[in-house]
Amino acid sequence: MKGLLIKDLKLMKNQKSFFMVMAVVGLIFLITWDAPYFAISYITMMFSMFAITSFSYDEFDNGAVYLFTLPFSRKTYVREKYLFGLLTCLIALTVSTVLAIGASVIKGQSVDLVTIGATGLSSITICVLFLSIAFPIEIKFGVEKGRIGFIVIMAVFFLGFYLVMKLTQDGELMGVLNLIRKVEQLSGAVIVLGLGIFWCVAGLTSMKISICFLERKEW
Amino acid sequence: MLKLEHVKKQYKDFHLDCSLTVKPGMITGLIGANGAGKSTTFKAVLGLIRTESGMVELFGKRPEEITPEDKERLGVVLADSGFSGYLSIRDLIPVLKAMYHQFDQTYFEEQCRRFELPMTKKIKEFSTGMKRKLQVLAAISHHADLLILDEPTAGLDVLARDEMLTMLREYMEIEGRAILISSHISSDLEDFCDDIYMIDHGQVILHEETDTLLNEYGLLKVDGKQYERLDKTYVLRSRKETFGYSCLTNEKQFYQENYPDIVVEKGSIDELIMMMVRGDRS
Repeated sequence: MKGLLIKDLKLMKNQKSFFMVMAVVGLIFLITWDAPYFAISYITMMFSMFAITSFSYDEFDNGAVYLFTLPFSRKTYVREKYLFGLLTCLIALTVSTVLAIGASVIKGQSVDLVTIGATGLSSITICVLFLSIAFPIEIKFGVEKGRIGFIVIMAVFFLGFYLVMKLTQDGELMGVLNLIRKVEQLSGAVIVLGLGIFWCVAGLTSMKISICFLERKEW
Repeated sequence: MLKLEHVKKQYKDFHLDCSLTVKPGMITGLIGANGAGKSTTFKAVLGLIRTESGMVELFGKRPEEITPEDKERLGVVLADSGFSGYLSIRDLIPVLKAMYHQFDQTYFEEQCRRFELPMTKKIKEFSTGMKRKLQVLAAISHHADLLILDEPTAGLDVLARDEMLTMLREYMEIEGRAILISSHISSDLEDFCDDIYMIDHGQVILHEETDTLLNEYGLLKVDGKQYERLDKTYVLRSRKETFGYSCLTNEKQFYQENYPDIVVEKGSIDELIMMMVRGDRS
């Protein structure tokens, strides 16, 4: 696992110009926008997407075949990718949050820690959701086909989400506004706990599917 | 150390049915034309493909029982795949160090310098030969017990090839180690291997010790009349030529003693392959 993590970190260096641009754009958001929340979500999501890109690096020039002759199990490979995704997400979130708070302090604005916390939680939720969908697709179909598959699945997901919102917005039981109102009534601890359970269930289910796909894979 | 017994794999237009054994202390060669099944055999050994039937046994274990610790005892070079091209050797060293408990960094770096491999250049910018050298160096730098080398000398010039083979011979100086190697350059295998398997259309068509192949196999060059009166008991394959027939035998001496008028050539491994693959069975 350690060797794979080092490999992915070393491969990350290849994207340094991309990350630099993202960091600069993020900083511009922090400086020019009054509220720093968008910058936090933006930086976190952009950085954690590298975990998906790392599959392309592994597959480059048929390299995955050789990679899987090295001393680790297929299960370890999958676990490392999820850990790597989680690490990039958390590191980006921490750095962007610190920067956001710093920017607010420098600009003499009050720091709304509750909203920053909520932004962090929602950013992690989106990242978990995004990576949990992308990883099994990348593993099953490979980078090229996986990209198309991912776009299709995301399109279906957002269309489904939109339709559910549209169809249930006036409903008493399932109405989205009703749901948001109910969530607002919950305590912070319950929300964090609920989200934590959601991250674990989504991540672990996705990891199990990915392991299943990879163990069946042939080169 | 490695045993394959009727390992079968069916693709759309290719069927593999391979049996071979690699014993400790032995260098075993696998030769055959492109598409003969060499790489598929290697992939079956390495668990990269699922076989339909037969038995693969590596270090006395079946593929599903192989642990990462067992894989540390392997050094692998594949013909069409290698380290991610976006890494440099400098990047690779901590990766190998973390993966192999016995990775010998000093030896690896020394050999990289010896073969003039740039430490900071991306591997994708390496020539084919440089990539091959790097893979071989990585394979032998962690004290593996078995090397599985698919075309390790491809793309190397004569001098580099010689150095590489010398390095592999040095690797074999430690008792109990073994190598399974494939190459399309048969002279590499001729001088290097203890025994050779010849594979064609997914089937092993010949297995012999290299000394036997070189000393007892030969090519008989005969005209039509000589061919007719020839005792074909020890003729494995024959082929029509402009001058008459070429016949492959595994009892060269028998024909030298009993047919002093016919030409008996020693025959290189290349010629043996040609005859085994293209010749008609007697």
